[in-house]
Amino acid sequence: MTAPTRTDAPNAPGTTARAPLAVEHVEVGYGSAPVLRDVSLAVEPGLVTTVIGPNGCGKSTLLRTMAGLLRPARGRVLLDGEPLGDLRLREVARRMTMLPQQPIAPEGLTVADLVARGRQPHQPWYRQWSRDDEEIVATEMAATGVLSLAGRAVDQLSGGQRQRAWIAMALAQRTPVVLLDEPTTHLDLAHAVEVLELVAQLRRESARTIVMVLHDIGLAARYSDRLVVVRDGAFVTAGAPAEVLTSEMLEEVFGLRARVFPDPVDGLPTVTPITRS
Amino acid sequence: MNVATRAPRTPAPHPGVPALRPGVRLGPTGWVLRPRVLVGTVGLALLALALVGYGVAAGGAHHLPADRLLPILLGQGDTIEQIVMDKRLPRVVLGVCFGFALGAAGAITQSITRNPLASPDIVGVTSGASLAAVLVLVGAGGRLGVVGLTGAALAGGLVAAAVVLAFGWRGGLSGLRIILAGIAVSTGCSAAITWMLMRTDLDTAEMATRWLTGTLGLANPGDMAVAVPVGLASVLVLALTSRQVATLRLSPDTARSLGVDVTRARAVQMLVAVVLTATATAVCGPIGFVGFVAPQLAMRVLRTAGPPVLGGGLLGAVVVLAADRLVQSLPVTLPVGSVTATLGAPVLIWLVVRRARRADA
Repeated sequence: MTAPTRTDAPNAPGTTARAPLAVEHVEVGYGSAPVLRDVSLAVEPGLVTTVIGPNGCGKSTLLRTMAGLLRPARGRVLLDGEPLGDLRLREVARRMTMLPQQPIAPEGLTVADLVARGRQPHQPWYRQWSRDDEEIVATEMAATGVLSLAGRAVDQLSGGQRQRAWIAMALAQRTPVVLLDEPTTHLDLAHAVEVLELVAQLRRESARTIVMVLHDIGLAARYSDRLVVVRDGAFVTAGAPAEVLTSEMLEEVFGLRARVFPDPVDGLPTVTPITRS
Repeated sequence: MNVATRAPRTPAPHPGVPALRPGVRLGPTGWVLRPRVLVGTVGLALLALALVGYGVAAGGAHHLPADRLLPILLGQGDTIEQIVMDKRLPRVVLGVCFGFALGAAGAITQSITRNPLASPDIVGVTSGASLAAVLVLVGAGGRLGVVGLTGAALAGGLVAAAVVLAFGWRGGLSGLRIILAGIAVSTGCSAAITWMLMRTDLDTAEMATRWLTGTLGLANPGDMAVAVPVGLASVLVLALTSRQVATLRLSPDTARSLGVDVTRARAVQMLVAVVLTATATAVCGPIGFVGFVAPQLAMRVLRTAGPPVLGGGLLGAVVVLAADRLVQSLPVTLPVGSVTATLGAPVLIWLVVRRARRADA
């Protein structure tokens, strides 16, 4: 079954009913003009799904709608088949987390304190720091390579370190679904790759379902199992990178004339803009 | 679908890893131990207590020996001692309760807006409460008493906060818009107060003016009936909501992802801050800049990430009590509000300059 796909029959077996996260015919708008129009999508479990599209196409809006940060005017978001609106916020936070674009930590907050925040949805008010919490936080900090930075202030870190600390917080939440909104914004290529390698490692080592938004098509092709293409607030196509990424699609959706060919070493689709000269 | 079956792997033990954050555990409970915060907070509490004791013992010409304080409090003092205590106790109790209220309210608003400039006195809550209180003072000539004044100030503070939030809201709370709207509301209220003072007779104007500068000198035992419950209730509310305040400091989206109903949490916190500020203002008059300075100082003393609510409250109490001691030791009669304002203005300028520099960098 090749989901994410158009779910014209939303409750058909194998689509939204079984998906860890799905949207059905959602329409989202700020004011009058809708930013998303009738978008349906079912995310496959255990895979990395990346939403791509031109600037302002509504890809971040789609992710924020999935996270429950924006309430759709029409349609609904399903988490494990349950409408998001029927779940308590703390319950949602135990199953799904979203790392916003360029989060800012308060001045002086240490990495350990930030990552420990991720345990909050699991903690009763009288137990805000247990041995389990400590172990989970240490594990995720080690996995993201920020354990040695535990006592440092988040605002003093480099861009790549800071992003890994925030990802550690999201992971400490131990949610089966993790959403990342442009996790590589303002990072240079080396640090962007470092963050995406971390995502790939998560995909290999844990059963988490990851949905992210990326603006770099080339990186999206390398680090995703599924690509979802959005233009003008509408769903265009979805599927494995090799199927979705074609010169025709890039020309039509992004207005970009480019060659797409398999990388000679690993065979992953590679995008090269066609120069006019 | 059963979530647990797809939940991520269980953590591998990390034997060699030192404690990330030392904890205190007792039975099913567990808390993070932050030595600096603990020591600092206890220190501030002891300092406030010492100032209370000093204020009662030496708050005037008649000195009460320390070993007599407890018996007098228990009603076993002689007549003179009892009279002295009746005069001094309300003053320090008001100082401690309302200093705490102002400091804690400031820490809350600064935290939830993530802006050090967003304290109740700067965003217009204090001036709204003052305007309503002056309306009552001028209109009813003080016949309404402390309860009427408190009610009016509360209503005024809430209206001011509502107006500021209405203008500051743009699909979410915008820090800068709130501050600009707050300055506008403050200025409008000040103008209205001036206009009312001009229109009323001289005696009322004098009384209102004295109240408007913020003083503990007019404290009487009846005021304690308002101060003590407000002080205790605020400590309780703050203890229950401190975790939410800490989470809101991250960002609205992150707080929501951690399972906090951001809109509701902010509304509740804002309401608590307005009630604390307006009550203190109703009884003592506007004691300026405590809500703004105390949380910022406490944050630096305790080295916390963001203005601490409990620490801010305690430091607020210390600042008000110390300022009131200073006022009483001066040869001229000064209201405590003038001292805190003198202290606060340079801090405000320093913060604005520092923020401007950081924005440039």
